[in-house]
Amino acid sequence: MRTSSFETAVERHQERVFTFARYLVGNREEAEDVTQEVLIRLWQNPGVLGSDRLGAWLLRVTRNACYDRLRGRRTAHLRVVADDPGSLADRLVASAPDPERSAASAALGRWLRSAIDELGEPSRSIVILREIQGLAYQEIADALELPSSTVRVALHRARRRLRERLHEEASTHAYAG
Amino acid sequence: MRTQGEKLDCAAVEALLEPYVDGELPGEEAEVVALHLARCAACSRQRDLALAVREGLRDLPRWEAPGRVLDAVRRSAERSAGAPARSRRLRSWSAVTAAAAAVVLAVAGSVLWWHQGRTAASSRPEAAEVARAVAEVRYALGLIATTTREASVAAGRRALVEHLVRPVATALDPSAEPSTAPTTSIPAAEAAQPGGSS
Repeated sequence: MRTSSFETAVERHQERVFTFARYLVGNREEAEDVTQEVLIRLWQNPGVLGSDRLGAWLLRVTRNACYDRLRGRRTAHLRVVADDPGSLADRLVASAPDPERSAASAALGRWLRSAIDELGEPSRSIVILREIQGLAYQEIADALELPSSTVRVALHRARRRLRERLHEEASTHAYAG
Repeated sequence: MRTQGEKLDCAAVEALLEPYVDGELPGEEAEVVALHLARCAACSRQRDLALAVREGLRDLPRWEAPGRVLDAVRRSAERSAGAPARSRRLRSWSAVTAAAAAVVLAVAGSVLWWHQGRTAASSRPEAAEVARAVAEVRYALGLIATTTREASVAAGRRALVEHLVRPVATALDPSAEPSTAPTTSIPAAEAAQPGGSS
């Protein structure tokens, strides 16, 4: 019974745990370690299995495990080398031709993965959980133990910061050009 | 709430832009923002960037955990689930060990009793009698060794050597030098054998 519930939970939540960990710690290997650690902790806490708190519990434990690791580092993980955000911003606007926008979207992805790392908490976790992983506000609120309204405001603020940074760097690029 | 008749400046639109692109603004307020965006190129560009960032984030990859990670988790869970069964096996082996220890105690007690009787009759046991007693103790110890090895409780065996076998051997031959090494042999008993260090 316990094994069956555990298997179901692992199948259902492994992607969410691993993706969250990978964005937080910034590399695959450590994300694997964190995922293993988190899922073993789930096995050791059978009371959580079958509970409606399971998803939130897993994300909270994942986040704590990631930040334990990040605190142990003296330097931040290697960041993805981003494209020039100035030229990116120009190519991303709706008026740019489709082929250019398509290529720019891939470059934007690389830039965003780097830019997310610059966000503080809880904005970073909220952006990952909401925009990348598609969780509902309430799920994020439960996981991070924050009011749902705070999650919503923090998400908008974080996205605005990303947009402003993209815009600022585009302006700098324009002047430099 | 703003209505269509109310104009917004760029700062006000900026504050509403993210909820606007998420479709979270009430209808009339969204229409006011849309009207402003239609007239303002700067805000319209911000709207495009907001949409690009939002879509760019949503296009970022998600990953399945690698199979080897999940396998390792399952193995760990299986080991953990099997732990109670192993405990039962250990308890079972402990019972065997206890029974064997009782046999050793009985043999050792007999040897001591017999030896004390002999000591009263003569000041030194004959070599053949000592050898027989040592052989009996060794046999009992062999039984203990087998059971404890199988039950992975070598510590109990060492304790038996230290607290039972060695005192018996020393009693048989007080002049034998006790050994401190917990080996599988019986140093003190060997010392009591004919031709030993005594």
